[in-house]
Amino acid sequence: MKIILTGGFLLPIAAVSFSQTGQVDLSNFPEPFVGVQIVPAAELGIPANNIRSKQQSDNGYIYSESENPKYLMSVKNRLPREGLSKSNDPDYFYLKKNVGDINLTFYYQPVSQNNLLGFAPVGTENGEGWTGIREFFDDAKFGVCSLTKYHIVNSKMGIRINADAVTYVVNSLPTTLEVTGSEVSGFKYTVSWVDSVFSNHLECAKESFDNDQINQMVAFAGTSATDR
Amino acid sequence: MNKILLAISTLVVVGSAHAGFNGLTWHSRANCINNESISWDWTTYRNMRTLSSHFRNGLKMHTVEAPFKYTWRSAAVHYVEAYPGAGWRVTGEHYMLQNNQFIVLGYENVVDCSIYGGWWDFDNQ
Repeated sequence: MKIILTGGFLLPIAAVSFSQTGQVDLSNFPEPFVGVQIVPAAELGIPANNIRSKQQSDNGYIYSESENPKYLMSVKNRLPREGLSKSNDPDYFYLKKNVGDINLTFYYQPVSQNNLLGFAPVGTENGEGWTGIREFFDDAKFGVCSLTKYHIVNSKMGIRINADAVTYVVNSLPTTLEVTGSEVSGFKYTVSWVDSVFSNHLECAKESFDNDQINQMVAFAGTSATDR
Repeated sequence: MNKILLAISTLVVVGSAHAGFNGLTWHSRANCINNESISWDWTTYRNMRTLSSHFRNGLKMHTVEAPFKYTWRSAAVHYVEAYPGAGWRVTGEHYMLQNNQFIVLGYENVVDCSIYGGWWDFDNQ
């Protein structure tokens, strides 16, 4: 096991301590657990053998009429535009052509080769920069894809993974897999894994269902998208 | 169409846009007319929950909750609570349940209206 699996619990914010005078002790402001835990499904409120996991197991995907596949595919409507700067696109409505156009709190090496669509900031802006990045690319087999990375520490992120669903298929790291959609709405394939620094999410969307695509995405994640 | 109108009105009226057009972002702001904590992602519906606790003069006054909902925008906002410089402190906590992972996305403890990467304060990058 390469990853840090820290103990502790997600502390509710309501646990703010008060002094005898009723004043909040701001110097000792509690912050939530940061890190990764593998926990039983019951602790996450997820019933064992629920219908979603059964559908995923039996059919290869979870039936859903969600708009999510089309929203991912529609990112092509917001491709990078020449001449846009922070002053005339401060909200990042359009994707950025270069990763250097986004002020990040960490170094990021893009995974795309000749199929890059663009970059977007994700996470939060903590005053020093963005704590996450999303890279979009168009893959001939996978469809429209994105790789999202959240810096766990910089985001102050606490992740609890369902022990009944976790696998270790991406470089022996805790991984969860999900395919959702329908023939009407299209399909979204998601590989999520955590490494020692990042929470990673490789997502691809296309119109059709391919039973082997999620495994191919796992292979891609293992060779191209870890420890960057 | 409703989603587009809400996104535009959010950006123009209360200024809580924060780059979520192309991915999930979250933030909190204090003394910004509103006190608020918001997570949003125009590209994805997901299960999200947001808590926003508001303190004044060192005392916790209340917590606003946007409970778990399958949505593209989870906003815990107390509208027109705090004029600029009113001295409020806001702590925000952002949750997501997705792909068998229960994630506390982030936590903020803020006393001002800044959105460092957004329109509000874009020169601060």
